[in-house]
Amino acid sequence: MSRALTKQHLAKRRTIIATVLIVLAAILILYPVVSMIGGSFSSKQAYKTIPSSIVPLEGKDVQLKKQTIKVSGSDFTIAEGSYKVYWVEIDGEKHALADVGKDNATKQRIFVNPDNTSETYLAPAAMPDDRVVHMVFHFTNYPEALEKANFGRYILNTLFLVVVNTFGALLSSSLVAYGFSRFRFKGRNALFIVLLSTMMLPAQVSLIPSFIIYQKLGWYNTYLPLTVAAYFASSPWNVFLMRQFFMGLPMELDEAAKIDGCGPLKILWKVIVPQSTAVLLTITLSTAVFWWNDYYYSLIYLQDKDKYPVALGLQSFDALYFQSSHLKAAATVMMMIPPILMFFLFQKYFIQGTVISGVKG
Amino acid sequence: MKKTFTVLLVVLLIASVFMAVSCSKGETTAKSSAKKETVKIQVMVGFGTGTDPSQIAVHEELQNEFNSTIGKEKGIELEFVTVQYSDAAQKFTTLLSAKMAPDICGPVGVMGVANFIDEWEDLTPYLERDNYDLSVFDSQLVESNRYNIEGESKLVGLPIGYYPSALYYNEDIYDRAGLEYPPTEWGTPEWTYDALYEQARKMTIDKWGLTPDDEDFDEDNVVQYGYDGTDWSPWRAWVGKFFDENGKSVALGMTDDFRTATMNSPEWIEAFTELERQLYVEKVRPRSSAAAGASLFGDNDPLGSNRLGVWEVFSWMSYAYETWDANFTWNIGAIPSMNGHVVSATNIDTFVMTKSGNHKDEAWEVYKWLFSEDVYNRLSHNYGSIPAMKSLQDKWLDEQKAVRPNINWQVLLDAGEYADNPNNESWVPNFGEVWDAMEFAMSSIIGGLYDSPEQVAEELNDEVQGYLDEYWAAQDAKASK
Amino acid sequence: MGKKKEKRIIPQSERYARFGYWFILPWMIGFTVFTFGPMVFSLYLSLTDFAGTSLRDASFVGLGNFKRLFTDSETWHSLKVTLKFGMMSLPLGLVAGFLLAYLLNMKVPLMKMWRTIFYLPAMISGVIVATLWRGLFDDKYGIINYLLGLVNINGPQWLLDPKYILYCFLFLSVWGCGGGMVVYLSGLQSIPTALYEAAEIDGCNKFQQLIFITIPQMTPIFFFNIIMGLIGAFQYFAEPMTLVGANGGQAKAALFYNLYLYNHAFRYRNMGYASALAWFLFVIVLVLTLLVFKSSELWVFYEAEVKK
Repeated sequence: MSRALTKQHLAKRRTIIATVLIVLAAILILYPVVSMIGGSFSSKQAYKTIPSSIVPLEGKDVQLKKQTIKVSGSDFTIAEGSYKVYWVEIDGEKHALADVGKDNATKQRIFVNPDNTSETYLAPAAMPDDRVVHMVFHFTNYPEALEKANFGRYILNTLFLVVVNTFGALLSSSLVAYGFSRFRFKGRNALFIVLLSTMMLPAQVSLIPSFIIYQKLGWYNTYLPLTVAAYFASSPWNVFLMRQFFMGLPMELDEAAKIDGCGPLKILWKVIVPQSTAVLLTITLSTAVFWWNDYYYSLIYLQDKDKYPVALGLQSFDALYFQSSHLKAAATVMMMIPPILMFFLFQKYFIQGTVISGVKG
Repeated sequence: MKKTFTVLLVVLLIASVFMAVSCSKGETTAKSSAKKETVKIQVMVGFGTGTDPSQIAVHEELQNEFNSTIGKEKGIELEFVTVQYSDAAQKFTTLLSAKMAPDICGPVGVMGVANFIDEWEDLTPYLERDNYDLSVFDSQLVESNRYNIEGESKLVGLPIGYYPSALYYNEDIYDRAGLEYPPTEWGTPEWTYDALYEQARKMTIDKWGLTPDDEDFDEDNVVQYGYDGTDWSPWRAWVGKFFDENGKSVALGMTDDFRTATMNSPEWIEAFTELERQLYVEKVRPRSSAAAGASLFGDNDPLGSNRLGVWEVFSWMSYAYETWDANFTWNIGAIPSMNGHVVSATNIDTFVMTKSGNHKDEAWEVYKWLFSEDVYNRLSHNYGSIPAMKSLQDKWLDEQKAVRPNINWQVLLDAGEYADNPNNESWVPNFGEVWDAMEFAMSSIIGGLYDSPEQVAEELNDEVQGYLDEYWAAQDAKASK
Repeated sequence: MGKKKEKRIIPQSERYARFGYWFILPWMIGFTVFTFGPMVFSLYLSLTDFAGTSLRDASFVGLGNFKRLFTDSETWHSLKVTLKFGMMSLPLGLVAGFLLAYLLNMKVPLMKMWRTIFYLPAMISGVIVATLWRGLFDDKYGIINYLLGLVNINGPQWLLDPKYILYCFLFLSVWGCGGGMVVYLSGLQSIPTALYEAAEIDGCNKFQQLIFITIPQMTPIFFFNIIMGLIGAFQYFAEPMTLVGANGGQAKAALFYNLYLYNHAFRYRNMGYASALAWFLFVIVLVLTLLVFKSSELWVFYEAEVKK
């Protein structure tokens, strides 16, 4: 059977299996994100009522004017206000009725048809699950979050951090990774382990000494503690990843360039970098996303509110006792858009990477 | 591609240089303007409430007001610095270690005060110097921030507001069960925890509609519970309801000299047993509503789930009123008595001055201004607390009534007389460790991960004794140096 | 490609090799100025009873903190939790990330969109990820127990049951494997297409290509992800902090090492002890990293190290 399959068939079958797997995994990935998007449109009151619903549902209310109705013979006055609407079972049939109050004689609740208040019923109080729910999109959450979190001002600060740090990381870590990968100098491995080891000490304990250093330098409440280190290859992650890629390139490339009279720096720029677009983009992406989301370093080293990045500004939605989960969801959704766009656009170059490095093998 | 890359790099470079330049420019101008003879007093907000955008706005308003009036006169510049609660300890610690402590911190609860007890300035000399009249506050609330440690007594803060606990209940659930609402009078003799359990059993319902009074009650599939307590302030809020033979609340859990743990005393074991009773005998309380967990009964707001009859909780729950309004009818009732004692565990917010602050006299000026009647009223209001300043309490009541006329607000005001003493958050040595040990004990009972109340009490007592010994060993070593 | 490789290192003149120092100079400067000092200082703090506030009040206690560490049952408990989690999440994350990247490197319709979707989790910070999942783990309303209910399984209280809590974090880390995926993807993209073309001509099928070309070519990336995963797993913090809090949840079942360390650093105000904990962790991770490094000579294949 399988022998009868041509190469194209095989390829097609592989594609179908891969697509199915990808779609399934994508649903799993998307579910919580979509439920957050749903939450970003819900009202503050409804955010928690139906935790796992994807769309913003909330209990229905109806506005009633002040009026007097007859309930089992006696008069009952409905005060002006909003009343909750429930599904109430009357004679085996479910009706959407507003709960307008308690009947003191029978200890039952008084329900009225919201469209025709003379239609009244007495029934036991409805359960919360019987509430009539409807979908309501609170689009105003977005402008409200923008305004409350001071997005406009913070976004410029964040962009500054992203640009400066990404540039620094690309520049310094490609130099350092080049040094570690293409030159067999003495102590290379030992130094590399030292570089990695800087990641192994939990940041909580070096926080205070680092803080004191920056403060002594007079850098507290400036962007310097957040940016300068990037120009000194402070992220072992970046250096290590680049080293791995550079080591994946055959040495003949350098040899050939050397014969052409290139110095080491020129080799890096003319030979190594063009071969490494994929990894450079990966680092651009991860550094940019990191600083886009950073709030820990900004929290420690910044004080003036006008210097805050967006992520730190967002924290105010988590205020103790005042959690505004709906606004936070809206803000988080907005925060996600720029990295998504960036990633989406960068993919063109991911693919281009193949072509270039495929030139030589 | 290479061309794109080069262009990109150049653009980035230019942009970063430009930004760096404009940034450093901003720096220098800021410095020169601060060169005036004014003293800057920083108030760090973030040890409790006060960090919501709406609350920050009030702080900013006050800041501007101060700086354009009294501040200008006295050469003081006031600045509120806001950090979120979850980050406050880290930020404060780093600032302290770099000798950059803020001058004033607050609003902060008794627990936050206790956590950094050594860092706060004793206000007594300032109060005496200015003949400050403390009688404007509820006296018990003032005392809650007085510490007597090793013969030294210090008062570290004045109360900006308080949050008593009371029974918040869901009227809809009471109505469905056909029950009378909890009384609004404190100390009604027949209103005991037994009576509350009686009600709660009728409001606890499983998937099949049965209650714990029915034989086939399915305790693993409960859809509505009758009662839940204050898990967030573990143990001492609950244990504070139990009294020893001298008529003193056993909330401290150790002897008055803080040297010997007494968390395996009969009273503590009784408290553990009573909790066990709510969960596994009466079956009226959700079992695993540990503070951090998500559950049917709402994240941190069980009443808001609309599936809980009564919640005994602090009045800082006021932030949830709106949500409750939207989903059910609720009200406030008095807490029942336990063995004849009625106790309302209370949280109290204050402002404290730091010991290591550089401008204490100016800080004290700001402090006094924060506690002047009008500013006090706005702050207390801003934090959703009941003012501890007696002259403002009627106003508070009127304000509440204006917004929600059907709620028994008087219950909260009357709770003041039944406030717990010692306070459920008051200082003990190695505060954080002891706190976590107590929380662990409570959550192991709520989670059903224990053998017996006695065993939990013994283990807790041993652990806490270890922390006390460690503390005093370190203190003695310091003293001998 | 299947042929035996001759491992011969290209000779490099010592003079040329020394250029390497110039290139790593930026890091050496940064390390000396910003990193080395604080590291040494924290080592010193581990020998004191520094509370985290005033250095003047700190007194020297010798190896006291380290002695305490070895008798502290919580240290070992939290280390065990961390190891248990790491041993599950590290291999799972490696395999899941690679498989995902492999799938996404095939010619599937709407590829750009899929890749973006899988990278989504990596764009959100850990704290928000944890908040997102909290609702989904809910025992009554969460989607997980809802799905289990469809096949008649009564799902547990995921976040409250000590037996299951680690699986929640495992789930979270697999969900977030898109970050690792991008690294794999860029690795896959960098494999010269000529290698595959040659294999195709030799009559290798896709599976053989995976085993003999893709995986060997990807070993530097596996190596990278193992080391980084290792270091990351030992410092797992933001997610448990958000989901269960600093106490580690019911029965402290999710008291990760770094949570415990954080408690001592900022909640219990034992910065000295926290520093000792940190250095103990440092030694463990360093030893493990060195072991992986040593082993890498046997299984990691670098183009730059051989001459074909």
